[in-house]
Amino acid sequence: MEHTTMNKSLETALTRPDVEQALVSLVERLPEIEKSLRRLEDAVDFGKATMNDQHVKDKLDSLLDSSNLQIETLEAAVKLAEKLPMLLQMTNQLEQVLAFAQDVYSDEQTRELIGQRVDEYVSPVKEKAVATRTLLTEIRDRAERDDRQITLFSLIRWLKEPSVQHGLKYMQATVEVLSEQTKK
Amino acid sequence: MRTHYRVIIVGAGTGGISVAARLLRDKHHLADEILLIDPEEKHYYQPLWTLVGAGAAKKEESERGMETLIPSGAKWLQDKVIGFNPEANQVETASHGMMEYDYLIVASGIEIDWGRIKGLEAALGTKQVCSNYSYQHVDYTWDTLRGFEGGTALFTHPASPVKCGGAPQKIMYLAEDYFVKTGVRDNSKIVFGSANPAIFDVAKYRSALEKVLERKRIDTHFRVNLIEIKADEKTAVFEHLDSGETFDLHYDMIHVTPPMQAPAVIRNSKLADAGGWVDVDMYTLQHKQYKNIFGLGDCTNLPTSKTGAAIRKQAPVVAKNVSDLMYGQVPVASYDGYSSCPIVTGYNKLILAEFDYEKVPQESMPFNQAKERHSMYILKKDFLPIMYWNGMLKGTM
Repeated sequence: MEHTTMNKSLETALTRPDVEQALVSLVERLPEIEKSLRRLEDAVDFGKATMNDQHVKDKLDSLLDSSNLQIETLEAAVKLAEKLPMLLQMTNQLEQVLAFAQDVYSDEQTRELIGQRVDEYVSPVKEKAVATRTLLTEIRDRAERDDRQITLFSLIRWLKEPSVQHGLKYMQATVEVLSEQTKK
Repeated sequence: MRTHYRVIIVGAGTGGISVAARLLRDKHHLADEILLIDPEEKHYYQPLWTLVGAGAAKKEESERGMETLIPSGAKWLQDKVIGFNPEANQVETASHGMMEYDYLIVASGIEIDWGRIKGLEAALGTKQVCSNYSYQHVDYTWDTLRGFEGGTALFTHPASPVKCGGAPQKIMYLAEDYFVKTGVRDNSKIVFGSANPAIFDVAKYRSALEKVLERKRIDTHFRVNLIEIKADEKTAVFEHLDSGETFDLHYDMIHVTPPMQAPAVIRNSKLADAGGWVDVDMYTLQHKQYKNIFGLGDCTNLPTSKTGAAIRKQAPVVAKNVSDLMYGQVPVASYDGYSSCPIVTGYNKLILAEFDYEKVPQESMPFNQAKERHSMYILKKDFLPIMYWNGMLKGTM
């Protein structure tokens, strides 16, 4: 009974057009498949013959003896292989960073843009430095040129200067605050 | 002329070029097998236009020749796609006929519909009607801000998806900052008319931006949509989206964010969903019906903000999944809806919003990005353009 059912389902499967087509295609490709199998068999035979060849064995032993390969080397190789996914990820990231840097370096428009931006940030600082230097030079030149005597009258006139007044007020306030804190 | 390519990419914008570059970096044998189709001669880094409109950057820095950006190994067909025939694996071009593909990637961006607001097309670039959403007119925004002497400065956000949803408010914050510097802030009123229900979708950044609005004394009207501009009368007509009622607002300058839609060629194709966008799986970015078609960027129906930053995360997913499918594997690379919006809140301040499909912040920096920071402003102004031109479009970032 079971055998009959199996035969029926096999017959049904064989009548399906896709199965039929696959079988025809398989039959057509049989010579090619047979050739491939023969080649595989040859390769296996070659491998077996090589492994049984005493001369090859001796040469392999001598190669291993003369190399620096040790059990530690193999252990390291296994550990390294374990880390390969992570190393690959890091290498990919590094490769992308390098490609980006290389592209920035070789892109004239981007180099120009970076130059402009650096100028934008540096220019105000540079201008301030130049202004300060000019101011200091002017002060030094005037001081060197001035041969007048500083009199008590000059000092009194200074006291009326708003910038001196401002500084003195700061000093006064500082003295008052410090004095109050000391009393506490 | 060759008419069959392994991969055809429709659109050589941010998405198209990024995916082409990634595919070619990963699979060298795809050289000469990838065709990018795009009619444009110039490629624009549009995020810079916010700063251009506020006088903080030059618009020429945002423009590069298309031929300088096509990845080595990809071919560029300067033509317009006018139809899709996914059953026959073909796209139809305006001048070169049918092109056949094994795999198709659709990255054709978004279309601006200037005509949907009555009176806008005619007035744009004149009479204090400006918009940062056009390379041609972005300079006029800066002219308008410089010429503003007080009164009402009106900024709008339309009732449609837009590219970079934060841009409509960024220019407003910059304008406010500029008006403070020029001394006209005290005799001016700043108004934001937005179709959205709130200033931002993500709670964390919404709360930060509400404080910015309060500090800058900006009047907000939510759930309103600009439908007409009467430029001679300096009047903007809005429709209230909930009641349908219309009302007028007088302005002395207006910055308009125009309504946007999927490109007509997609809307009218079998690739589109009911809304007209390329109908892709939100995770694998594979077309829901045609398995050898993928989509990314602004033209898709992905439920996230349409930004360049989103495309930065979509491109590797598309490249991996196309590549896997090509070699008989199931495409499993997944996109989580990441998008980012660097919201400029002044000439030296920025909130860097980053979030996913769930509107949960996905911040890249080890500090609170909802805080306005000068460092993030420098990142946007000086570093993001370089990352774009030399990293993203080269398939490394």
